[in-house]
Amino acid sequence: MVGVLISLKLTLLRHSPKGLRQTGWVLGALLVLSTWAGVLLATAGAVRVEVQVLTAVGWGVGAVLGPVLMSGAGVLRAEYFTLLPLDRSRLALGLLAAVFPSVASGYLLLALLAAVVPAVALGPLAMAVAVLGALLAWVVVITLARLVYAALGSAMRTWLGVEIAGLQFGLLIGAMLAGWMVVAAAFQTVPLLLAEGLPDDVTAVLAVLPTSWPVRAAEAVGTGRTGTGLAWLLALVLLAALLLALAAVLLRPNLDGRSRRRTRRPLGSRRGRRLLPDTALGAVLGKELRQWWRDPWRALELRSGFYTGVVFGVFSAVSGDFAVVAPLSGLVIALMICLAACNLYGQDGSAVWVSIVNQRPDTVTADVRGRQLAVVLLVLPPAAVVSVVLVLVSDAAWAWPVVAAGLPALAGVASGIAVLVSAVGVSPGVDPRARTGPNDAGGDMGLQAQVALWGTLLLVLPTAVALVVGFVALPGWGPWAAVAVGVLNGALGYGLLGRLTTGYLATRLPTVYTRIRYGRNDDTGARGTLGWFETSSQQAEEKAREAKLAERRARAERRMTPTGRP
Amino acid sequence: MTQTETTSPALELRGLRRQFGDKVAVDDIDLVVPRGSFFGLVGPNGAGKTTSLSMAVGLLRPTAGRAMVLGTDVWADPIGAKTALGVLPDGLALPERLTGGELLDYWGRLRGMPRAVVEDRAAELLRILELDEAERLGTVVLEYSTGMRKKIGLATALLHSPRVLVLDEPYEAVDPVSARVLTSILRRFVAAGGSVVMSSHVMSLVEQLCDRVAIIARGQVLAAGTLAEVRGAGTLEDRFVSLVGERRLEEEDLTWLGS
Repeated sequence: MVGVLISLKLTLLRHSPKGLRQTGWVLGALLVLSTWAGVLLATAGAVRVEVQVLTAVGWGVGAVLGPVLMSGAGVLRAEYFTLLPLDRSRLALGLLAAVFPSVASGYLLLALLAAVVPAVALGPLAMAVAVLGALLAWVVVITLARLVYAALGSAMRTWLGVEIAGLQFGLLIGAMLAGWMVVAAAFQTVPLLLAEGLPDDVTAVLAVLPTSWPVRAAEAVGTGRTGTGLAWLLALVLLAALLLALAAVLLRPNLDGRSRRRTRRPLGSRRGRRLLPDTALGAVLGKELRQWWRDPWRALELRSGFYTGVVFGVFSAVSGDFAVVAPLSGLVIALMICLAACNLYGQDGSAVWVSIVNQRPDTVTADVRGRQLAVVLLVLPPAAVVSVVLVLVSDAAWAWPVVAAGLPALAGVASGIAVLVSAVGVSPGVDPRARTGPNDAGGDMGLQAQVALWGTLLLVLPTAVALVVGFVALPGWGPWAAVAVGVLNGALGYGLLGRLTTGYLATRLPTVYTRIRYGRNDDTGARGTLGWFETSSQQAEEKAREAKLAERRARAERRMTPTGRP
Repeated sequence: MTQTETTSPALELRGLRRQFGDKVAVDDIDLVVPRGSFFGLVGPNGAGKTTSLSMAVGLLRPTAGRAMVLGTDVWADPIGAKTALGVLPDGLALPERLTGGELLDYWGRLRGMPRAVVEDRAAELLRILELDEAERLGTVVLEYSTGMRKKIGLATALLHSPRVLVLDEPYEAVDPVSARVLTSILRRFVAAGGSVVMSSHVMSLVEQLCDRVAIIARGQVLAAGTLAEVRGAGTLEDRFVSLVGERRLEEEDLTWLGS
């Protein structure tokens, strides 16, 4: 069965975009090389062990978080096999086994095998123990990663799961935005680390983690404490067995079905109907607010944005040199609107048909403005609260005008960019009814995210410039004058980008529907930048489909025998 | 009301064509649905029924041809045409996290209907289609069964009291009791002067309900007219099979089954 599952997984992978995978392969290879370089370059034996232990932990954490953030076509879902007459626990272990043969897990093994380096000095037996330990650690890490992913998949049904997934995305994006601050601080300490090793308390913590056990075992065997060494190995075996037993239970296909009996009415169903204006805009705003509150995939977007701000704050606070910008974390939360809401139409699935069949003169405007307004109403208050708290806590009075100018500018521009990208770069994910994993609500969003992020940053430049001028060139009231620029910047971004979207959608709601429902775009009416973006965002999916067709044709041809008989 | 609006057919498709790349899904079809008729569109899987209806209601842009609702071109004057249309598509998403009542409220406001009218009609539709219990519990559309989804879809199609109903597989997965209610609703709608276009796989259902039918296969209309004209002396199913072609199970096929 394992062989069949592995070949099924490889088939699924062959149908996923090649470019992305190749980028991953290059990055992974570089990371493996730097891991080995770090361990080899360490000056003393004890330091070498510490460096190896530290990198192994890094690889472990990366492997556990990676699949959550980048799960794609290669993941076999247990639900695919529900109807087959297979033992559910065996199927679970088979699915787990199918995770091991992959490029990423190969890199992980190579990186963990760096545990051999410190063992070289201790003799061949220690080296053998290190290799065995690394293999066991590999099984432990991959099984753990699969368990975490599965737990999150089912956790998309609970609020806690959404919070955890949101925190993970926040960590990733926050690390991208502010990671360089920590890296910059770390870079100053790398030579120090390679020469002197880690502080003792850090070493003590790392030693407890399973990724450190292989090198502990090799060390013990190499220094004559064979019993202790074997005990470390045995501990790894036991941990692997425990995780495998858990996997046999947790990776089974879920047979509970989607709908548990409701115990309470959904959020926002008792009030609100009366509060909203009795117009198409009121209709869309009410619908959007409820969808944001109730849909775990949308909630995940909001949480990710919030946690990105928090992570930004923490990273900058601990970086030392850059701690001064920590009070501006609320601005990052507002900025994240552009990513949280950049696939609104794709997230709704084919539901855009409702706006098409009910089209009236004000439908498109109401749809665009309602979506913008909802996301601003949901993000601006928490961003403002975080800003106020952080400015007060860090006693950074200088930040008040920055926050007061930046929040309206970012919220206005980001909501405009988000709805524009949602319409022009629509990316249909899995149908809303079939979603299970945290990444199911959109397709390949790489280009869309870049356009949304850089577009927002570019269009809030006037506010940034006004603030700089206010601080540098004007007297004390200078920064406060920038607040007016920020408000105007935000209002214009909200208004003009929304109007641009309305203009684009006025005749193209059926185009958006066709792109979602049929995965193709045969309306080539859009010109200029919007036309380019529309074409480019569609191209990734078209390419994938063409590749699939070519593959199918090639297979059909292969099936034809040389004599021409089918 | 203009002259064309009072005399033109409920739905008229002229040379309607749709290609997906090289594949022709709908091949220049012409179809006229007279006012006040209960029109059945039948065809095998993949015949082009859903594609044709999607183009007829303004969802999918045709490669060529026109679609007119009560004389108004759906693609030239979409807002005018859609005012008179009620649509139930097959298998599409809805705002999944709304309850049935909230969906109807959203729908009514989008349509610019007065709040009191929406509230009264929504309550009535939910009661008649037996979705009121789910509404009381706060069940959202995502948690509905397939049959319940059809029923809430029908409720949305009826809410604004359209003059032409276009329904894609309205009876699919609907239980027999609800199916009877649905039939009564549609018959009353037609008796009051409305027109219904409905697609279905189930020949007996179409035979029982519709006064006019069209058989469509491989993107083409193979026969169209009154029920009597199309089925001739036999049943609709006989006529359908003779037009679409029968696939017989030979003696040597699937002999392993049940062995």
